[in-house]
Amino acid sequence: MRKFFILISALLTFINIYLIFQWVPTEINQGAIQRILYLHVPLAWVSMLTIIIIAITSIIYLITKNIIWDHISVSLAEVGIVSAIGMLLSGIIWAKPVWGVWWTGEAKLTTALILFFIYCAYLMFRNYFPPGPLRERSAAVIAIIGAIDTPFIYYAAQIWEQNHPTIVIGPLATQESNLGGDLALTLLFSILTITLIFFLVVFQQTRFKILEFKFNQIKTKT
Amino acid sequence: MKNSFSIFKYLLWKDLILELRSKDFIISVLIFSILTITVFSQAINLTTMNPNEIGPAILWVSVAFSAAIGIPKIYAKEKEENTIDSLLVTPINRDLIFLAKSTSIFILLIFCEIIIFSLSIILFNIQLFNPIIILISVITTFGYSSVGALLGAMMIRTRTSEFLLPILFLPIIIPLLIFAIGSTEIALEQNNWGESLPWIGLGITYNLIFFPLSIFLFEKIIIE
Repeated sequence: MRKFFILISALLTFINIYLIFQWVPTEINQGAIQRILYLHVPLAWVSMLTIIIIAITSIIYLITKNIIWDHISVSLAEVGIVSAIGMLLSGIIWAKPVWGVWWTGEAKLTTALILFFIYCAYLMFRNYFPPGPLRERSAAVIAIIGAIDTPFIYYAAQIWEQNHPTIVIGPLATQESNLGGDLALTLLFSILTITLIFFLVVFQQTRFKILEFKFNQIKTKT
Repeated sequence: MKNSFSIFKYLLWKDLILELRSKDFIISVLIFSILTITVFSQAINLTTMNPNEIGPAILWVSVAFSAAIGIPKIYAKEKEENTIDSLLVTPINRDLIFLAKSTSIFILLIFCEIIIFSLSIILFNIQLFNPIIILISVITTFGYSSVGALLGAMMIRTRTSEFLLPILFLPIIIPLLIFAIGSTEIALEQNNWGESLPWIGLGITYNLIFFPLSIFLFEKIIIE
């Protein structure tokens, strides 16, 4: 089953690369740089989805106390932080030629950056705290408050934006993106492919963590 | 109910007395925030910038950073003497321990903010003692103290609390920080309740969600 999903992901990735670089026409207003959005948007979707799933798995862990849910949570966080870094870097690369600036105080950008710091805080806490059930419970609490905090960050940044409008002066700043049929299809296909790869990597990571946990248990017994 | 209130009063009195004797929290928060405000006021050309815009940003950022440094001090005595386990063994409701800690952090932060506000008035020439800004301060400090009490309790069994707490605390209180800075700016520019209402709504909603959540999650992280 696992090999089947690996093969499917590989196939979808090759199709995705073909669609992005060969099939989809160049967007009229933004030009070639627009193609980076076929990576940026799926990574953003995955990193936002991850914090919600981590909160759910953390709640399940707190209720059931089954260590597997904790392994899933930490695997999600590790993959989530990588997708958050990819999202931020691809966004910055896209923003400079289109907006004329690397960064603005827009609500989505602020939320994305703080979400990255929440992932960092979660993983650093797990790294520095002595291992044991208290670490797992505390990490679950951090994930829950981090997930609940994220919409507040977005809303606060939105109100801030309304009071402090930023000026973007790039050559394409005032142009609307023309997301026609082909572009929308390619974007949806990219989202599907990257989401599948994401779940596959999380699954693999969780497997390794469970094996590592069992190995450590055997080691301490002997 | 009467018994719970007596226990809460006693726990609060204990925390405040310990702080009054050691003054660890007050000194670290005051010194750090005064230094931060002074450094920023030297680094920025205040004659060319609008003090009503720059003053609140510097003020609230310094309060947030100072709170992140000061909160581990509230739990430091529990850590050194290992008194938290003694408290947990007693047949008292754990929520009362959280309430006492968050109330003590709230009272001490408010005390420090009075001094920090006075310094900001002198350095930035802004009028901070008005009813809207006092309400903003109460809402923000309440949020800082409830989140800080929860995260501080999490760090009680680790040696890296001074390093880890700011990393956890600052991303979580970002909405409150944005609320405090934005609403203080509006209050200074317009001194109008109507304009401040969306901000005050955000601050109150944040506290309405995070305060009960912190009480509920406190027990999960305090018991080993």
